Amino acid sequence: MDMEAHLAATLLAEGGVDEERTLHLVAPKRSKGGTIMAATRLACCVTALSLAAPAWAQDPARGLALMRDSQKGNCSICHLVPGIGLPEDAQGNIGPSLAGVGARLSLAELHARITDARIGNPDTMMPPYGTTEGLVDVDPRYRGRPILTPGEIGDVAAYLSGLTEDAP
Amino acid sequence: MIRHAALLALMATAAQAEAPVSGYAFMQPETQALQDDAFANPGMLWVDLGRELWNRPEASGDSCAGCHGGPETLRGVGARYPAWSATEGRVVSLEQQINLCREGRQQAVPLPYGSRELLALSALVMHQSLGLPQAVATDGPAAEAYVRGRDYFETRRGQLNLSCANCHVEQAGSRLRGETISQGQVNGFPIYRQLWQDIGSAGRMIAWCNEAVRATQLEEGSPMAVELELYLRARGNGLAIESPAVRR
Ligand code: HEC
Ligand code: HEC
Repeated sequence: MDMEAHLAATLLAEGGVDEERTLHLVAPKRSKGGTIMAATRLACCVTALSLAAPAWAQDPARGLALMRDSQKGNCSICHLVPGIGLPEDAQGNIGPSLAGVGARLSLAELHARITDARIGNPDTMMPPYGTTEGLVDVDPRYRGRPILTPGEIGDVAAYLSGLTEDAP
Repeated sequence: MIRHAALLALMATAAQAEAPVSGYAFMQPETQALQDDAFANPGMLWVDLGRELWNRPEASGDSCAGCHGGPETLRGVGARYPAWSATEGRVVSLEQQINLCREGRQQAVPLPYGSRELLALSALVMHQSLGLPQAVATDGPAAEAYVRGRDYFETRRGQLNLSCANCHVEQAGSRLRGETISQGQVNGFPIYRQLWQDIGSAGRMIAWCNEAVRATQLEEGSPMAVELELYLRARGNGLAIESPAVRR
């Protein structure tokens, strides 16, 4: 079994990855050295998902669309998101501005924050986008699945990692 | 002496706790002006409809006026709801008390919770307390309901994992999308909300905020929703009643 297929099987066994993304992982054309790095770091680190992320095909444009989508990221209700196409006073200021966030945080750190910001700050107001752990009283229409799939989080992180300039 | 010390401690705690501020203070001047002008305030349409219903005899031949006289005889009453009902053995909202009168005294069918008629009657009754301090009792048999309401308020829930307190205590004054978050006070309910182009009870607002965090929606008038409303009202005891308030 090659390394990628092995990682995919591990993630599946943990129930930690959606089917669509698993398929991407196994697909040979997605094969990159990053997965091996991720696999070796797997044992010691926060979540397999956040570290496996750099291996996946990432689409910043899709990431931005996901951040704008009110059924998905809806990130600008709390953050100023450069490039989202909304006037500043129609965006939230509960969280910090995401201008320059790509210079502050690595891709893996971005992935981890979006997946479950509680790991860094148990009292955070930032919703856990990549897990259902600890959630109570979820509307039946949304129950049982996280807001974003690991692949979608990869796309969002890719967009954010391109935001390397601080706000003017 | 001991009692005196305890009282001082209590007063110190009260002073530290955030003072209640009406949602009015978080509105733009145009919205405030609309609320303040009794002729322009769209919520007054419901008060007017309420006045008609107040005088309308039901199956028993009685109208609200038949038992109470003019609506102004109920000045101060709305400011005390939700309140413990000894006959029901639970806390009831003003809307529910109106329906209890309908069923018990007027032999009329209860009005559906979010209906235009029920909101018109509750807007009429609340409007009689305009300017009076909200004064909801939380002692005696209402104490347990208050605690359950407070627990609900402070518990994170929904797919976004947020509590009412996360937004309305910690983030009051911050912007969520384009909206300034207020303390989530209910001294203006029923409110005319421009976003809805309609009037709504505190229960409707609670359901809207549930929806925002993708939590199971509390049904308007359900026991938990009424206990939460009791907590919300008590949290803002002392605020002047503004009903019908106008909000964005
Ligand atoms: C309900 C509010 C809320 C929403 C919605 C939200 N965030 Fe956050 N976010 C926060 C807060 C508050 C922080 C500050 C750090 C903390 O409390 O953990 C934060 C921190 C962050 C950080 C770290 C920033 C830094 O400079 O360290 C990133 C990255 C981030 N958010 C990305 C996102 C993305 C992407 C989305 C949407 C997919 C999103 N957030 C949605 C509230 C939110
Ligand atoms: C994600 C943020 C958020 C959460 C969580 C939230 N609300 Fe709200 N709430 C708002 C916003 C935004 C408004 C509209 C602006 C305002 O009046 O604060 C609002 C309005 C209100 C109002 C109307 C205030 C007025 O003056 O008319 C009440 C009452 C209220 N919320 C109660 C609650 C309760 C109870 C909960 C928990 C079940 C809750 N909210 C959870 C964001 C939130």
